[in-house]
This record gives sequence, structure tokens and C-alpha cells, in this order.
Amino acid sequence: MLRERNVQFFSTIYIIKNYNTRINTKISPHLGKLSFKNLLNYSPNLMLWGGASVVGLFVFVEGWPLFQQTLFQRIPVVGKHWAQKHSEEN
Amino acid sequence: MSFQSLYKLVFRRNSVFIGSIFLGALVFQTTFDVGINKFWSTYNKGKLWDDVKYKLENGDTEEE
Repeated sequence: MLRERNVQFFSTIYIIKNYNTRINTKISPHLGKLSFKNLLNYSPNLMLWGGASVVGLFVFVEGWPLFQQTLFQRIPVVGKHWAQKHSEEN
Repeated sequence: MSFQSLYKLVFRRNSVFIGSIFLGALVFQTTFDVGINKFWSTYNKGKLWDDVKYKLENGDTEEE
């Protein structure tokens, strides 16, 4: 009986000694300060930035015949302006 | 449009602000181009190639 209790006692101590007392944290995947959650929170703003940069690109590409023919001519109402421009050249 | 609604619509986010600047530039440069061309063709009516082309092609070349 005593022997059994001793074993139990020591085994308990043994278990206690093996307890992991640190806080179990898990680091989410990230690249510097960028993480998936961060990107998700920024996504509406990032989409707006994408739109702004596309419009900005259009400003500088407006006079380029390739873009006039493939893109600007096909805008429903105002597209006529670039279509006329190109027919004059021909 | 009050300034507050303008602020909410345009200035609140920098992305929208810069996007609207670019959009304004695109619209302005196109309308300016159209307007100046229209002014030029009305101001110089009768002297431009489009007006003279048919005359010259039909042999009405008094100068030459």
C-alpha cells in the first residue's frame, strides 16, 4: 500500500515537472509586417489603389494609338472621339 | 455640395483622392483637346486642309 502510494506520489511529481508552463502561442505566417489578416483588412483600400493606378495609367497612355484602338474607342459614349482621331490619320 | 460631403466622397481616403485627380486629368485633357480643336477649326474655317481638299482635287487651283 505504502509502496503504491509512493509510486503514485512520485509519478505525480514527475507529471508536474513535465507540465509546459509557457503560454502556447502560434505565430501566423507573415512577411515582415504583412500577414494574411493584415492584407484582408487592407483589401478595400488596396482595390481602390488598384483602380486609381489604372486610371493614372490611362492618363499617360491616352495618346498612344495602340491603346486608343484597343481600349478607348470601345468606351460606349465618348469612344467616338478616339475613333474619329484615328480615321483622320488614315 | 457642401464641403463635408465632398470630404466624405473624395478626400477621406488617399486612394480615392489620387484616383479622382487622375480621373479629372483624363477628363480635362480629353475635353481640352476637343475644345481647342473645335476652336481651331472654326477660327480657321476655309483655310484648313479639310475645306481646301475638295477644291484642289477638282482642279480649282488658282494659285498654282
